[in-house]
Amino acid sequence: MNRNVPDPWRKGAAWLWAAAFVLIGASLFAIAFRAPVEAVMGPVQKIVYIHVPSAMVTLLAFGIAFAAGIAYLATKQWVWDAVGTAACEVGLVFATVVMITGPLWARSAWNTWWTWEPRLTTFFILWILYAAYQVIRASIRSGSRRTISAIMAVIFFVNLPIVWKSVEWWRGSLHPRSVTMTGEMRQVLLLSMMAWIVFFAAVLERRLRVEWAREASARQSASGDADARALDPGVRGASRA
Amino acid sequence: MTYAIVAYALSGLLWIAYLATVSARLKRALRKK
Repeated sequence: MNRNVPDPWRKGAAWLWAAAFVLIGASLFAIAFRAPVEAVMGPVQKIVYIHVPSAMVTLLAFGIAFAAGIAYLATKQWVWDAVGTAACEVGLVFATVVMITGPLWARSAWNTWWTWEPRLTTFFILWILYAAYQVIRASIRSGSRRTISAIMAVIFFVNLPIVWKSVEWWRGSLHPRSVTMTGEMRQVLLLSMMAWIVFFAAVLERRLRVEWAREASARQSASGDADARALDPGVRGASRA
Repeated sequence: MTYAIVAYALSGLLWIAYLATVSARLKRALRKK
């Protein structure tokens, strides 16, 4: 394996994955057997237990990308670019889960797969923006790739508060503001949220390691000797990997 | 019920597919060294 990845980090990642699997297992069990079946909608309501935590983690991921974007623009250290791009990509997968589970829930709740109401529309725009981030980043092969990615992560973040507040700002919003739940439902939702946050951290670490390995190999081919230039997150943009 | 199962199954498959691509990319990046 990569000898540039420090050992304590690898051990930490293993623990993170173990915790994620235990928590996800527990939450799936709780969703199936502990959470009560909702009176009106029936078992379909249980989609909420992945839809809401996924949406929450999406916002968390893009928030991290925003912070990393600012940090990169301020310091030009490659590690912030790595954090930013990893968070954007993992966040997009969570956003896709939201886009899959939402319509399946809406078909039962509203009798339609999709409607152009404020929350759905703003979230759809969010999904498009961060999908565009991936396409634009991949298409830049010059030295400005990292700067442009950071600028995109900062600018696209503007849409996040709009998604968040959309259910309050516009009248005629169908999307539930907050879910009224019994104590047991709330417990299961909280457990799911915890599980998804830990899972997100584990996936982010793994995705980050890809950037780490790419940077290491780019520096090695640049200098011809990896050990002479140990991978230091503080070293300024050495590669265009 | 069917929709709930489809939602969970699709989400699970998406994650498995994504994690597989990340692992493949990591392997490729490490082999380059």
